[in-house]
Amino acid sequence: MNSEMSAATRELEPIIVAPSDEERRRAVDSAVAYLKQDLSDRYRVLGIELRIDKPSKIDGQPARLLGVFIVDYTKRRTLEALVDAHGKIVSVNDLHGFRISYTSEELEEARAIAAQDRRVAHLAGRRDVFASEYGPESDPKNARLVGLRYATLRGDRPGPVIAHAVVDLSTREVRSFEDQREGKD
Amino acid sequence: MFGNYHHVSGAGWSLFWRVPTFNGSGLEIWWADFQGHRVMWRGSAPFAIVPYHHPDTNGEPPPPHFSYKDGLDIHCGGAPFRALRHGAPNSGLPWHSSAFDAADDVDAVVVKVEPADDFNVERLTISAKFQCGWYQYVHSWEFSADGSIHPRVAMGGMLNPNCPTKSHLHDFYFRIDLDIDGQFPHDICEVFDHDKLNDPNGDRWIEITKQMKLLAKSASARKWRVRSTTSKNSAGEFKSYEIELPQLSGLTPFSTGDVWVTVYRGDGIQQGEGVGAADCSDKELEANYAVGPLHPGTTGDDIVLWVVVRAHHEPRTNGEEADHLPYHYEEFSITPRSFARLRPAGASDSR
Repeated sequence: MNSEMSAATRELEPIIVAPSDEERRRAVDSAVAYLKQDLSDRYRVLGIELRIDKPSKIDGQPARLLGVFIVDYTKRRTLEALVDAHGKIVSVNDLHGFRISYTSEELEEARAIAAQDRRVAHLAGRRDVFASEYGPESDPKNARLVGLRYATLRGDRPGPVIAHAVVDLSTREVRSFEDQREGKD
Repeated sequence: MFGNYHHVSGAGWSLFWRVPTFNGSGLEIWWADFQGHRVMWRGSAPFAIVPYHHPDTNGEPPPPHFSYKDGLDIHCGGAPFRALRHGAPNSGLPWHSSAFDAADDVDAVVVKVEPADDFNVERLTISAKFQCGWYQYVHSWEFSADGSIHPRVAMGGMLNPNCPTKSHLHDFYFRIDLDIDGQFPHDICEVFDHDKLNDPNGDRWIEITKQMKLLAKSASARKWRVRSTTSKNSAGEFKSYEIELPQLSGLTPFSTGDVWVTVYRGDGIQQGEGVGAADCSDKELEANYAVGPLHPGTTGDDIVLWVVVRAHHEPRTNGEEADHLPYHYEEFSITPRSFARLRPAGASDSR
């Protein structure tokens, strides 16, 4: 036993252990089943996070919950379903405009969509140009927007950003494109 | 795998660290206990606001605000905090290459216990570095055997490639949820000012009676504390932890305060991290979160503080920062008062 750990933290230890694969799977299945009526056919489970809130009473124990984050691209909503250890849905929160960080799958999809756009294609194909993500201005209709900045490479060293593309994952199109180089648009 | 809690101990401390599942918010500290007593439920530094001198920024950051919102809930051209593996170079390389991304959280986080020596007490330090666009940020939390906590952040990576000469400010926002001796919700928040050299009454502590934005004031040695209303030390004094914030820069229209006193509203992701969506500023902290009464005269509250560490960066474009940015650290202190019994290293413990 760790003598520096408080009694309150010792009681937390069984609650905060990493969720098993089975627990994760059950949480996702429960969340998707619960929300099925409300989800369009274009949704993605962004990920799962163990969620430990303080108990409502000082001598109480926190609940062990799993937060399942789901983005619905067609309906332009990002939802957090809180699921207990038995797979029961405790609550569903609409995150409104809160921008959960993009997943690697979303970034791949955004890059692929951008590469199909004639304004971006010439940049996407260059070996001396790379794309990295950024957060563009909010969309009033809550579309899931991914910003891609295209910067040059001089050897291994990044150079200036020469273009910005904003990809709308809801409509799967390039919402805007700006070329920073003079005379390009 | 990210998002799991990892236990570490040393220097009289026991705590857990976590790098959340979603790239974005950096290194978190949970359930920090000192000498067997709870000090902090959670500490994190989930976002930064970085306004630039403008308007000639060559599109980075973009008009009309010329200010990034980095970390969680990115806006205004900002980028998330992407965990890098331990040993990733401090240069522009990790911006364009995923080869330096941490495969999992233990790949990113470094835990060190340094023994006491002639000049320092024993220290437990948890650190990780994160890529944020062309910048790198180091999140580092030092827990000392004197009971103090030093949350630190370093800036590294490379200068903005589109406007490498432009000065800017880094405003790092820490969410600090102190639970003095675990007795939530029975804490109060107070502000200290040194007024004059008269003794007594040259210094004063004043209770804060409502959730609000607070400003630093070095002329009066201003600091703040979270004090228990129920838990006392053996001398009968209420236990507390103080926030000492040595600001190196002032406010801007984007970073409008130094400390916000709020109350616990859960550990979900919308507890203040979502500021800046409208105008790249922190104004929502005051408008939406630091709102409502406190109860210092009756029950006390479960106090949560937002604390900003601020640094102005005048680039050394053609000199020391031409290649990369040597890590530059800024920090603040969370210091115990009437909380702990300390003895010199090597002395017998007769608790």
